[in-house]
Amino acid sequence: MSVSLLRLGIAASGARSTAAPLLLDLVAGAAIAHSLRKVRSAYAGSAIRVRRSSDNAEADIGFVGIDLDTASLLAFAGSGSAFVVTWYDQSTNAQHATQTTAASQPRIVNAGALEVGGASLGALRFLAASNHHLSSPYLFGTAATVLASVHNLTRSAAATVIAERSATNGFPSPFQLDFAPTDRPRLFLRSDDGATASAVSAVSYFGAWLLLTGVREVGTTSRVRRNASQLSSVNATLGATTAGATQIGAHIRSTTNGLDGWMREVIVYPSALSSADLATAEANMNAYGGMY
Amino acid sequence: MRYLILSRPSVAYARAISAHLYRLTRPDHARSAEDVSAYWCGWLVHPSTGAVALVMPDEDIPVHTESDADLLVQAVAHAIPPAEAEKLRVDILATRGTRAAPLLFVPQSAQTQLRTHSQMEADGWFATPAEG
Repeated sequence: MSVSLLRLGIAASGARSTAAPLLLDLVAGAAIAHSLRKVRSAYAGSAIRVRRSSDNAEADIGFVGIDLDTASLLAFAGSGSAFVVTWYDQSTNAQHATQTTAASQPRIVNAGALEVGGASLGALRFLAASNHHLSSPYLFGTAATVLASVHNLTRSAAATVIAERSATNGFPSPFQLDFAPTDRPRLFLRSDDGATASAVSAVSYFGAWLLLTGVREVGTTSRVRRNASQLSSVNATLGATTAGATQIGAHIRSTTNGLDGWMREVIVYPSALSSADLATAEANMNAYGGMY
Repeated sequence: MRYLILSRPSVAYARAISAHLYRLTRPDHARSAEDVSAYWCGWLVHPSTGAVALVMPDEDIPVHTESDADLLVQAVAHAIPPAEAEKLRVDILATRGTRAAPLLFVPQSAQTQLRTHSQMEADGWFATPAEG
């Protein structure tokens, strides 16, 4: 691939066209949008910033067309590994997710090979035993829609995809999207007074990529979905919560409830999407990831 | 992975030691303004005693050719004999430009404070989280 092609953003062999519909162009208004593909046509920044293991140097990695520039990533990593220090927010809000502690940074290249989680697209590998996670400045409101492309490996503990803790009691609140023990997709909500509401799947899912969606809707039915099908719902009318901090890939209160698996996209809208928008967003993410 | 219980029950102290370990691999003058990484490892606070431990990864540390040994040595000198402080300084200088096991930088008298995960678990470092 020539440098001139890269600079022009023309897709290399196997890469998608820049004309493909991008998620945030179809369903605008995301609060945060982390992805290894380009999800908003006007976004001009990088996808990720990475640290390489050979000397701990860091570099921004962008896109070729709409896909992650894996050639530059692998060239930078060399025969070593690379870890994500920043997962840039492609929404208009610039709420980038970061990890300043080297040992807690999710891996994207392992000994010269791109992390893919059994698929063909690049992915962030979160190792629960290493407390891999990224911290986001985003704080949830009382309504939200979260869509995540995730592949979790089976484990006995809960596996967090994204969670915000309350500054009052430290528990994940008001929004936690995770896999409850064992491997059951769940939307877990808690208020400062200790009241909880949980929409949790009765069935376990692990060992494959899936599209996990959590919708919190004020005063009505909140729900968790897998591959665009609803798994469980709950009427989540809870008391107030105090804004705390949000983490991707790990439970804030406990270092033992992190995700053990891969993630390639997590998109948050600050409202419950309409049925039409939710269907559009889920279809777009599936068209990219081929999860179902 | 090993855990090192620190001489001072202070998160600020843990943060400083972790940052000095990271500076061994990437001194401030070698960093770019956009660099994000600042700490080598994480830390834990005991839920009841307040003791603080570093979470030491197994991976070797790439020691920068221009790393400053004195920063880490000065930070731990209060807790170790002068001879161990000098040995730590010599060890850091000797590993410049190579990859070194992180435990090499744990002074002899502090190695009694190293723990395995199961030892930490038995000592109550990992509070069982409530549902959620």
